[in-house]
Amino acid sequence: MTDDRRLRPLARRLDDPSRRRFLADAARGLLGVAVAPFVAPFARAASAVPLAPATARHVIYVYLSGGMSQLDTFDPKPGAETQGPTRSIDTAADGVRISEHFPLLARRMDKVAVVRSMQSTQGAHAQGRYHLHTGYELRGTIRHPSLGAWLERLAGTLHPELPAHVSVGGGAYTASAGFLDPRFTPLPLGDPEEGLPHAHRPAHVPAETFDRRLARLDAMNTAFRQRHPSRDVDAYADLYEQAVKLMDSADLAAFDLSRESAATRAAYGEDRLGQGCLLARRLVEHGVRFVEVVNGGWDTHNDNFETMEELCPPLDRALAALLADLDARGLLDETLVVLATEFGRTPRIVEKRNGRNHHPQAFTCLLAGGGVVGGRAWGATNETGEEIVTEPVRVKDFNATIAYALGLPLDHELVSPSGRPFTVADDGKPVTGLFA
Amino acid sequence: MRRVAAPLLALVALAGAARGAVDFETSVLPVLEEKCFRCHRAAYEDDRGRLRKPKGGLRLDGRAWIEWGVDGEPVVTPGDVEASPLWGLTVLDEDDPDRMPKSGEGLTAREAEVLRRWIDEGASFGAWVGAARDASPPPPPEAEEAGAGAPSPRLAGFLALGEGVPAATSASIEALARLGARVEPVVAGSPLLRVSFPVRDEREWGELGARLRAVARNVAWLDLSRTGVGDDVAERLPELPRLVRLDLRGTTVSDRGAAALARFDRLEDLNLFGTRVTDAGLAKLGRLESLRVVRVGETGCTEEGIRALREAQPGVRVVGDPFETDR
Repeated sequence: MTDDRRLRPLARRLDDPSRRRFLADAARGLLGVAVAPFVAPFARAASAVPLAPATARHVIYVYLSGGMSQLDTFDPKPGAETQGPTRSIDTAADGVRISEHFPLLARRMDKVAVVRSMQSTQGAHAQGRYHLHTGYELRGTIRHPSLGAWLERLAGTLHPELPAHVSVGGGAYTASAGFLDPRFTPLPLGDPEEGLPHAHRPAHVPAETFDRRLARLDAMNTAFRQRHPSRDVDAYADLYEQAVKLMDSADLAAFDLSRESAATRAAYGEDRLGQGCLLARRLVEHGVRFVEVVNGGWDTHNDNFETMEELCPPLDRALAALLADLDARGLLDETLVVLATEFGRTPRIVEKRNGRNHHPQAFTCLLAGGGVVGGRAWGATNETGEEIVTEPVRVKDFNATIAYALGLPLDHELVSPSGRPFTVADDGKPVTGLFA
Repeated sequence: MRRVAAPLLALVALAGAARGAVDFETSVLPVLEEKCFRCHRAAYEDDRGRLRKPKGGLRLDGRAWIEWGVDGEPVVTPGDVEASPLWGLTVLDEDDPDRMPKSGEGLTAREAEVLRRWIDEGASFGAWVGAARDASPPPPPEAEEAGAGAPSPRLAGFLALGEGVPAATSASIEALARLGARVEPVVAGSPLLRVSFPVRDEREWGELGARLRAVARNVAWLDLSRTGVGDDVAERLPELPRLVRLDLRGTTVSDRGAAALARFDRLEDLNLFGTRVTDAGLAKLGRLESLRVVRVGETGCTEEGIRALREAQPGVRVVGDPFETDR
């Protein structure tokens, strides 16, 4: 984007008038379609890309790394030989039964659409994870942007200081800006309870000294940036600028879980997944657009059933709490909650290890909120769970569905440095029936 | 701005002609014809019988149309190239989605330079008139269909409510934005507005009433969540005849403010999460027959108050505390 960002002084914080200018510019950009699309083309806070009618403004994307076994969670096959010892229970959704390990979520299934006909072409972890997050296949020659980066690039931010895209427990492992400008990289967070590390000005440095140091850094940088204008140099400087803005933001409190009551923290569960989901709710409340929460350990080749007994309860608690909390606050309508995994697990049990292997041909993901009509299953697998019977949903169709909910244009091409065009979900088709 | 432009244009045109300036008809018009008119001309029926409206609501096929810009917002400021999107959008990077023209070849470097010089020298049209502007304003531009389909039933309700409502002026919208508000259409293409306040800020709430009044007939969704406003602001909200959704989550509104809200007789969705409303205030709101959803989690409302509201209005969904806690 051609603008004067690279010459803006680093030390300028986003004061009130600037914030309001941000919002005024956003108003012009957002109202482009109805009022004035062409005013201030270089000062877009929100993208001027024409968006379709969107039902969701935010995404909370819970990614289970390793390949979640669908028969032991959300596509049980009671009575089938492949089911194994996991039993199933009724839910608040008519006709939808899920695994006994999810009693809390069962009561909230009226909000959830269970997509049981997911299919992927990638059966290995790195490739599967990449395909899930980008919609494209892993290649040596290019890195594609992940969904959150696309969202920020096409639809912009909602808050002038907070990042649009945060990854809790993930970071480069799952999400990246790909070939887009590096400023679309998600903000990575490790432990949700730690908040945002190093986000406060150093206590032992007085404010004037800090500002003076920034100004000196600025002076050194400006000459360099003018002589060597390059996207990567700009990105590095942008990182500093973003960091300073964030440090001084009143809304830094969004990252501080200690502001939540003990009861709320207990309801989500005192573990990384639970607290990560609670953090996601806080961030969405403050205007962050895309929050990913990563939870590992689902690659149950060995001792599948015992491991599921340990893995599922925190997920049950976290998801149930998240859905209830978002609904109570009036955020669920506009927040798409996704539970995704890179592939499923074989219905056929590997006896020697009492486990299940990778199974990309048919697996399950969940969608809730953000305009999705809950309380039902979408698609189905056969009696053993081996194959899809109706409504196959490829990974890129799934991603297209998420993009559709957000109002992102599916055919909008962005060109990589090598000149190749890409879209948010390749040629995936959104499952619009989920919103009817 | 445009009022000043005419005499200015004349002066500059005279000066420009003397210097061998860019002549619009011979140098600029051919560029517009070749690169811009395909999309930015009068509405027409294509060979499949579909009505094609001017893209973005902008026509460039006449002097009066170029001067009118988009719904009165200029696309050319004579003498000021940086403030002229007519030029600015053509020189964006190739991979920038906003680059004009959207399809086909962009302007060559020479063409862009001609356009730039023309604007810099005062954007004089010479004797060219082109298509005359009709008395009726151009049709409002529609959101481009990008393979994303029709709006959901929830949003369709907003579209129906907005029919026939004239769009708010950009001046009144910007006045609100300068107060810290984020103003956007409830759904793309609708004249109905959603007003929210994404940053917690010290601001002159006294101004809010007046600035909302300027867009009163357009506001369908008012989101004051987390702004910390109190009963005074709630009581002083102007008449908002199309207000359907009101979000007061995390404000200090209490029963006094809640009672004042009972006058919004179209209100369907009311969010009182985390406010100081109690059963008494909730009861007053129970009289609103338009209500469909009320959220009263983490307030002073009790099970009894919630039950009373459900009895008074069986069709209303009342959402309480998210987690079971000891009350």
